[in-house]
Amino acid sequence: MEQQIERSKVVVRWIVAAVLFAAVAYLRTRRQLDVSWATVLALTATLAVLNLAYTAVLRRGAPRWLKYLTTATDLALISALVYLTGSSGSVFYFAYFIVLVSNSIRYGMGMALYVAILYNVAYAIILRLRPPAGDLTVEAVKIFAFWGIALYAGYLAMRFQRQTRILQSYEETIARLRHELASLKESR
Amino acid sequence: MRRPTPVLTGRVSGILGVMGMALLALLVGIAWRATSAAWFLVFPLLLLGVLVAAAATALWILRHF
Repeated sequence: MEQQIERSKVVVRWIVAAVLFAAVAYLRTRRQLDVSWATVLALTATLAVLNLAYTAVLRRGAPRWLKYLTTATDLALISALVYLTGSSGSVFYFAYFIVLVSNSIRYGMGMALYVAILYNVAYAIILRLRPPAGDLTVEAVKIFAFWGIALYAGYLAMRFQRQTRILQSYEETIARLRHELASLKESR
Repeated sequence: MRRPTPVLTGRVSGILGVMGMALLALLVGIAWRATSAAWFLVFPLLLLGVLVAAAATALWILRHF
């Protein structure tokens, strides 16, 4: 199951990377971003190498630690992108939500909390290294909003997982009853 | 048969509730008055503390234990 999920994340990661690279390239050519090509290419290359490494690991199976590692590296790369493209004013801030929602829905409340903690730490470090021009309270509210969305997404995932388990048990019961009915008919 | 010892007593949940309120006040205070973003690094601890305290209090109010 986890192997399947991580494989789909690899595909999504390629798509998101391509979209983000195109967006950075477009904004750079219009002189709206002050990032060197070397930095952009280095970030993209890091992501590509990591994604290839994950693909190689996933050929043999999905170790338990892999989902935590892939999520952590995704958040680290997004944090680097956010830091390089304007810190709190970065247009790529929304990318954090892609990681949050995709992982929370797939893995549940535990992963939602893990993503929220890593985001909180990473974003606080970004703000410390490159403080925003305005009030810090706005940034605190942004962090709270992220936590709120993380908890809500985790809660929805929990409910979904519970309903899936109930549905699975119904299907098993129906299959068992069908089998019993068939064997009863045969015995007559 | 002996009744099992309650995990969460009224006293413990009361203490947890007060601690949760204190953590929440600290959280709001930091968000409001912080002069350095380094303070935001304690948010996960405070938020998880508030959530645990709120959950314990809610469970006790609902007589879950």
